[in-house]
Amino acid sequence: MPKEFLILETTVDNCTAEVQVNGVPFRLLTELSTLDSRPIHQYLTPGPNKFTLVVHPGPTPGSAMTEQPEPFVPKAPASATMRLMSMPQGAFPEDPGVRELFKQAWNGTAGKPVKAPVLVEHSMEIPGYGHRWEWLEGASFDSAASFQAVIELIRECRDGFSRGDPEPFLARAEVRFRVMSLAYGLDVNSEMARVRADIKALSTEPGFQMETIDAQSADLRVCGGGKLMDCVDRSWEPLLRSTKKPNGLIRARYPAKVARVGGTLQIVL
Amino acid sequence: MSGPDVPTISALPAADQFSKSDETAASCGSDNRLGGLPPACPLASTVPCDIDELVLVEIAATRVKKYHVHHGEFIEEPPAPKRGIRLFDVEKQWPKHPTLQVVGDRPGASSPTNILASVSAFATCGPTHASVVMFPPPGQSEISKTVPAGVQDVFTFEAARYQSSNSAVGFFERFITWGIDPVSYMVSVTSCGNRLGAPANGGGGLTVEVYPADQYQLKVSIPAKGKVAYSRARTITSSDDPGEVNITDSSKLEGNIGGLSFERSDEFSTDDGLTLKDEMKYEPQELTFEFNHNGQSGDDVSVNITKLLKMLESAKEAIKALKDFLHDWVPQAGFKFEFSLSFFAGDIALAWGYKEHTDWRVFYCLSGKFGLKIFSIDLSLSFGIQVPGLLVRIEGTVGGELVLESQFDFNTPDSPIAINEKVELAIPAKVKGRAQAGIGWASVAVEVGVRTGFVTGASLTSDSNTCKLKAEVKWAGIIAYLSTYDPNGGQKDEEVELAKERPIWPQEEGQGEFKF
Repeated sequence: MPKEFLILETTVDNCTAEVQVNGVPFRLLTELSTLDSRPIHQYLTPGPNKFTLVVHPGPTPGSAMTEQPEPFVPKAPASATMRLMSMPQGAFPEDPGVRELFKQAWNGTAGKPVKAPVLVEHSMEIPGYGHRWEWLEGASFDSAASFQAVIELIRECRDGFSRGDPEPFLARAEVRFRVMSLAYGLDVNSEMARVRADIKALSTEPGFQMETIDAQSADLRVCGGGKLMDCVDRSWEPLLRSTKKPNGLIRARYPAKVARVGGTLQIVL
Repeated sequence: MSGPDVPTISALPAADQFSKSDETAASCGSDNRLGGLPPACPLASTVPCDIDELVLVEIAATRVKKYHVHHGEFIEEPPAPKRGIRLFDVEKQWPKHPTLQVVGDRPGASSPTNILASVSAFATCGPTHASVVMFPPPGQSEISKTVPAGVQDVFTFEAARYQSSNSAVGFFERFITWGIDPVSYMVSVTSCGNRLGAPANGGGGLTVEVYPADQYQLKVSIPAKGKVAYSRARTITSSDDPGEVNITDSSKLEGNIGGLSFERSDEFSTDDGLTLKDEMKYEPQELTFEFNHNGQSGDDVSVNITKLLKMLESAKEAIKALKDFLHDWVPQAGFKFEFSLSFFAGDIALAWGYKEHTDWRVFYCLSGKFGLKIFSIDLSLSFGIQVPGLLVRIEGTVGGELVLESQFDFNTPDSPIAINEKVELAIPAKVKGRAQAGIGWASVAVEVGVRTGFVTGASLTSDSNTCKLKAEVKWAGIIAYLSTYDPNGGQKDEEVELAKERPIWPQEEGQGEFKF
């Protein structure tokens, strides 16, 4: 386990923004969820790394980066920030030993239209971090047939979860376990065992059900330089998730980005 | 409507003043009060005995200045015209009405309200008949007299207002006179009602209702913002073993709220044995409370100031106590709880009292101007919670204000007091969270429709006998969705109650309402 963690912290105020590292989107911040702070080792590569905030993205994941027909007019002073910190394990941002590696911000004026989306970007090399991940060597996604194959993969995992059987997921996510192992020094076997137990426990929770995979509402998008397929729906939710509970809560989500690795589709992030 | 002068009365010689000795002269028919019951004496129908008229006129010259109200201030008016009523159909310059309502001071006041009674008898059937009686309020002696036939007889009496038995002890209620019963004076005339074949007046009566002459004026200014800051700093130093941290703590509390600066000292311990110190001391500042009774200050209003201070204190203490309702916070993540509060800050100007209309009526005159920031809060907090494998720091802010502005003037009996101002506001909490650095991470979201923050409302309303200023402030608590992630196991969400709900104002039944 690393002693230092690279934590990317992003915030929004009176706007929405999607966070990407090296073209891999992983979080949409909204007015109801305004802060994201997470380690990003698994997204980093040797050489320059690109950090992007897509402020006021399009209405769906597939149109997130598309220029919007209408400008964004903040109703109140708006802002979006991202900063990368090197943090000792257990630290909070203001603690000693935390180093800020960069900070970028966008500020919007209330009532002043801006062309949307607004891209806030920063590139930097981070010595000592990043790998040439195996999924980077795979073929790009370029056909409708690929989309269907990805849907089938997710459906296979979903059906397994519904039966309380994590094995289809674990088999399809082997590359991800390897990626996380490289990124954070985790043991693949023990991680698989932990996730296996976790999925089995979840499946026995009262009322737990997996959402059906609806190809119509899916909004698979190609990202990561064409190498990844982000398995989300039009509401930015992961396709692989449990149904909403009566209180509106979605108990479990399994974000999945699929790549071609060694000629087969694999969940890699 | 205004009554003309009364030449038939003013031209007469000085009024006869009745005395107790006159009572014996009214030995026949003196039980006939209002309603004109037939006279009790069995008189021969060939003897005329009849009343021409009874008039009651307020002698305006004996009254001091008159006022109307505007935006909570009394404004002096020109002298009012004479006001009076009549019983029958002779003195038509006065309205024919059974009741004359007036305002009157307490007995012996320098500016009494005097009533001039004028009675004319067409004829009397005998030396003891055709009489007039003035029935005063209980406890005073009645006055009665035989009315000479063929002349207009006049007399005056003081319409005094006796001490009210109002025992209300509310915020403003001690001085409230709205909806009380008037003191009544009745003037009754009796005769046989025999005009030898012509239409006759058997008798009847008129009433004078006396309402308090007191005029009240209240101005309250409550200062604006105050601040309370409570913090418990966390410092962390790296060591060779990243699993170990050194934590030091400090705490402070300081502030000024509602014009009160404070210091106090008490200590309490947390579960981990750390001691937090809480210091407060209260000292009133800048709060002004001006109360005038008939243009003079001097009534003891200290009780009201005390109540006002308690009110401010109560709300502030309730908000301060919210920090104790944060859910299972853990000290390792630090702690901050700061708020600026305005509660009932602003200005109230009120003027009220009974006022004589130009006709026979008296009405309750009420005027006010309210500019109140009922509740304004700017709260920020942070605290930690422990979830499996993660220490998460929650940060929240709640900010907003509820304002009540109103002004009203009720200066006429034809537009009865009707106030209905209502405002309400939800002040939701914005909440976010982050986990300490590590492989897993966390985020916090507040979903639409989930209760958070403050819910406030205020109203200024009236009913048939009172006005009410009512406010309600509730802390709805904070329920949030806590998401925890790990890179292999995905995202798990759960609903967590980060802070419990709690009433801020009122905390006791009836506390949140002021009547006036």
